[in-house]
Amino acid sequence: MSDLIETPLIVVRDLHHVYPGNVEALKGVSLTVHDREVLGIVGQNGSGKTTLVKHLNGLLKPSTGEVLVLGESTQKKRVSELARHVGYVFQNPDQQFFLGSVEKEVNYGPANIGMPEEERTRVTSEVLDRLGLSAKRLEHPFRLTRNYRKLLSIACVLAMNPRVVVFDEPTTGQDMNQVRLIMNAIHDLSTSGHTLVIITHDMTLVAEHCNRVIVMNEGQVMAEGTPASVFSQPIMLGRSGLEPPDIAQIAARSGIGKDILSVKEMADYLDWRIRDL
Amino acid sequence: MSQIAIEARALQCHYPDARDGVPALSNIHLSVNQGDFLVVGGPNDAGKTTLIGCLGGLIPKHIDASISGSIELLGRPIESYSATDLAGTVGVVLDDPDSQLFGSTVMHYLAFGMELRGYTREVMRERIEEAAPLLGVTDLLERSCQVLSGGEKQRVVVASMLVMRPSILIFDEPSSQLDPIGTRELFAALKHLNQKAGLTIVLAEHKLGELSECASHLLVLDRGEVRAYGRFRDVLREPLHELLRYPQAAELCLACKERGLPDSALLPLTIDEGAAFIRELLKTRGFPA
Repeated sequence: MSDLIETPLIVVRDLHHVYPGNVEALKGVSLTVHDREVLGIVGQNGSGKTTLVKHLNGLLKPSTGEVLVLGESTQKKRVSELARHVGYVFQNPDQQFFLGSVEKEVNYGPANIGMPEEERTRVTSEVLDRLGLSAKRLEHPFRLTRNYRKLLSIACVLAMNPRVVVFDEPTTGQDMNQVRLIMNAIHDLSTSGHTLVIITHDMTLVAEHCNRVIVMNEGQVMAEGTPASVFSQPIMLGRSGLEPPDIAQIAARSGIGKDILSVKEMADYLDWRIRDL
Repeated sequence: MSQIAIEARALQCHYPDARDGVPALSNIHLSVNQGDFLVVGGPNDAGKTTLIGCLGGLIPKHIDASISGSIELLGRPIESYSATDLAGTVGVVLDDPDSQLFGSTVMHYLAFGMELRGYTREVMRERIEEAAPLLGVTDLLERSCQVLSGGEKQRVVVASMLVMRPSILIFDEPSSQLDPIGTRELFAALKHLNQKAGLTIVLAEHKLGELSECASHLLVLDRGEVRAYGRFRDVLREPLHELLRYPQAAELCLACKERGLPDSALLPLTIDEGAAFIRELLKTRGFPA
């Protein structure tokens, strides 16, 4: 992985964004998204996470500073051009649906970029299957429950096969099975060579799936590093409305003197300690 | 003697557009004592929001669905409550605070329900001053509702219920829009309202770990039916892994058990309990391979 993550896909330089009414949501953010990495963006409500990622596919344009996607500035690009490279899975899926069935909704993006019908049909059915939506293909998107609408919004983006997929709060309000399904989709995407940027409050997701994490606070990048290094700074995290996942806190409090990020890691460690010492 | 706050008998609920005529809730029996803190868990589509809607009086009054069976609040049938009485008995907080929040400032929003009922300025001020510190929103009173963070908004919505002095508060996934600290703050405020002010709380939620320090009971719904119901910790001892997101401390204990490591008498739920579980386990070094 280390040799792969050196190529920058997206470069953000000294990005400022001021909303109407003079609200400065981003105050000089610089970062790089490398090829094939899974980058987590965390921070409390209102820290600028969503504003930041809306610049990655051109939904927002910088007030000052610049955003380069595959080496080109987003300033003059249309969202439709950027959508081939950077897909965006909204936090609220209702913001994107407008067609009469699940299948049509997934089909729309590929049709829009001129994908041949046969390929479209195959891609649509593949994507629906992958997200457990095949049985719902003929239903109206707004008849689906919230978690299925969320899965549908992911399906629509996957059908476009973009190089970078941005997830805005993918596991919010989902039950355990849906979280597993989404986590699997995320895992699949990252192992099949996609680059992922995930905004989340779910520290378990960060711990188990991200290679790198950026902590935002009041429109600025407050910290950056591997999940283990970021979770070892509880005071900085607390100031950003965050805390390490339970299992990392349990590890720290039990005094085993080892960074642990997942339940499986901890169980493996205990198993080894108990049986082999 | 503890009085019963909420009693549901043979509760069934049907949405008019339900596919295959499957009821959203069927045969729900429930008895919540005053001062209980009941968490309603289960997968999405299990009927949690519908149950919250029925117990809070939103169904069938404001949401089109037919119900059968009975619901009593404080010993009185829910249908016998006027809108004003109901607001003074039960407060309902939904998952998205923006769907409930309006008005220019937090102060105006908190006063709105009381203004409708013609309370005097003095009473309104007194009640706001009483409710605001309980939710930590005193410093927000002069702020515009639009500029609040998600956690602040949710606490303001809860405060707006409290000024009506209900004895029951009902929540539908109140933390779904909140960051981890916002969630912790909200749940800490609810624990305080429950344990210090004696309010009865019913809360539909996926995040069980964060609730293990405040919840007294757990009801698990699955496809509209009760799968398990009892004291919070007892219910989590049951094999409900397919339906619930367990706290990581509990997941760890179960993962160790699966590997054949010694089990713990107490299922750890909190971070402290998880750490204690590990220390205890490590004392058994030399356990046969």
